[in-house]
Amino acid sequence: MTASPMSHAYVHGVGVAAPGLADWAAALPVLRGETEYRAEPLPAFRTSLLPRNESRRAGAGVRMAFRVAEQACSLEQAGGCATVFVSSAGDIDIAEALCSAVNTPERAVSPIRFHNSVHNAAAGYWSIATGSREPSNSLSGGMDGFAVALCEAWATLATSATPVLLVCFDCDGQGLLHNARPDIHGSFALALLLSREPSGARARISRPALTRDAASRCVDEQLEYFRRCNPSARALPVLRALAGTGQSQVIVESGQGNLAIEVR
Amino acid sequence: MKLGVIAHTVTTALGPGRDALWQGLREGRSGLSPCDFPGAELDTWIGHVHECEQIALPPELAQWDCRNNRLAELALQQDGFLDAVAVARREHAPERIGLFLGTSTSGIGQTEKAYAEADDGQMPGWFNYARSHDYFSVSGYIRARLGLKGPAMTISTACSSSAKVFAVAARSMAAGFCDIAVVGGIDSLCLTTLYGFNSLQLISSEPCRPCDTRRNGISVGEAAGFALVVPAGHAPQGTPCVLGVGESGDAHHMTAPEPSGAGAELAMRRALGDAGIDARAIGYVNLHGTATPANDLAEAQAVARLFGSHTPVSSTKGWTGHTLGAAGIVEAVIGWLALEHGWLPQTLNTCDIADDIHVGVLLEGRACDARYVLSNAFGFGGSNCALVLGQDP
Repeated sequence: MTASPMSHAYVHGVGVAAPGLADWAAALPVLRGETEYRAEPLPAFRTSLLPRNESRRAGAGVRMAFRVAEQACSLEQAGGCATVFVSSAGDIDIAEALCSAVNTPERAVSPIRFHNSVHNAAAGYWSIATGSREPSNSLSGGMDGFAVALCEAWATLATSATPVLLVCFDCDGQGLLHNARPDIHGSFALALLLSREPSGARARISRPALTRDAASRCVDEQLEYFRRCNPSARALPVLRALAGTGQSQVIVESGQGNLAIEVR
Repeated sequence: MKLGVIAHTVTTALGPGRDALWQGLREGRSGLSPCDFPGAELDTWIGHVHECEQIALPPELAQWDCRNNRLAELALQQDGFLDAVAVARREHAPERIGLFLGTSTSGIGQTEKAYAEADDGQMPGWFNYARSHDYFSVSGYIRARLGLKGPAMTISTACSSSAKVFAVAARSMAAGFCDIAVVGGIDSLCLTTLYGFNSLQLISSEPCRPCDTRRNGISVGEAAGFALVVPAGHAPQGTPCVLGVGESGDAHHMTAPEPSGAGAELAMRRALGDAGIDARAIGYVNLHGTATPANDLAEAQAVARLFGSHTPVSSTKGWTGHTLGAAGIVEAVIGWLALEHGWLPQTLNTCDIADDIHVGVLLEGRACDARYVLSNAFGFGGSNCALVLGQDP
């Protein structure tokens, strides 16, 4: 509707976490095709931004979100950032514990589990840890979460003065609910620090545009399976482009319409 | 970007549609009743939409069945909202109609039921996680129900969710991703919410009494509401509007508000700044006003710093209960109704305003000539959102 929507944004930080992609530095040679992808379990991670007990109780989803957010920006940068968090289901093990508790005779719901069950738990803990009072959103787009959240992050950046930290996470669970959700596979998270400031940027990305073109795929079969079965892993082609050096056109898959993005 | 509201509707414990809500407000009649939600043996009052038990989803969409989507369907059928969307679909390509819906617990009630039937480590065959419990479920349902093809997402920031939908719609339009949008909020009663708030010792055994000396917790309610919004310049004269939105974080605690109300104040200041109007122009503040001791005190301090003690304010939770992820849209609709009818609702059930609350809490409804209303919605995780509402840009 505006005369000239923001045409470009600048990527100032990237974070990733998935089996075999322990962090952005470790992911670079895999994404560039220099080393083979091996789905090794993620090494242990503990955030220094939350007290140990709080971090443990916060749940796997919050820890995955912190794991990638801390790679993408420094604490100093984070304090002045708006945030967009997206996850299809949040933390299904916490949901499982609550649904199980209300089916017991005592109905003894844990108050900590209850407040950690809110979809914006990761956003809330991040705001507390970084001291940021900037706007923060927590979304779900089902399988299309990455595309949906990229547009919300874009719109936030276009209409505000601060950089925007985009955090996507979709995690496995361990119980009945996990088994009843066969369409989502594995745990994958990524973060992008987006700014309107070109200086010091790693890459420039163009405004996401609807396209009828087919989605970009991963060359590696295991990564391609991940991309198809985890909403956050739908970002893999964008991460591959960010890991490269030249210019590339990426088509992000979305059931709401694929999005074309130029990464340079 | 300022938004014009072409159509809006709300369904609360006072009944389906805007008129049921307004009649209750005018007659001083609460929608709260002693808790009769199946499986909840709690000494508390709830805002129960009983009509939700009589509604079914269209047969072709039956796989989306859960209480949350039934409540959404019930709300969708009121106040000519479906007709307004049909007109929008004739005037706009479906790809240009956005959908931004707030919920805090989505269809978790369906998973609670499935657990009761779980057998040998398996959920029952009828259970469909993605179309009930997943946060995107209600957006997926409404998208299919209305035949929309534009950007669609669920906003889930606890009790600020359906205030923030207006901010998301405004920036999506400003960034050129859509031209018109359906926004709304839907939250339905479930055991998780009732027992969860009970575990935090935040529910009252009486109908909630916001800002009162004897306030001692919330009354949980369910509700759903929708609005069809466009850039304000494209709306006809006299249309209800969202003139400004302000969002902020508390950066303080997951469940307790920042005690001085600093985060709440920041959201209100940003909303006023976005609207481009002075605090003195606000004729009424609809408080978040949940009736917990800490929430009401923090909010009242923030409101007092901005609006002093004379601007009329009230919390309408005593009528509807705290409808959580639907509170933002419910109270936006109350704000527009107040402007349309020139009348402000009181803080129901409240009779003795606490000594440390120094804002103009209405104990009786009254006529007003307010041009602008500010409406607050605050959630767990320190998620704050304030809306400046008006008629005409």
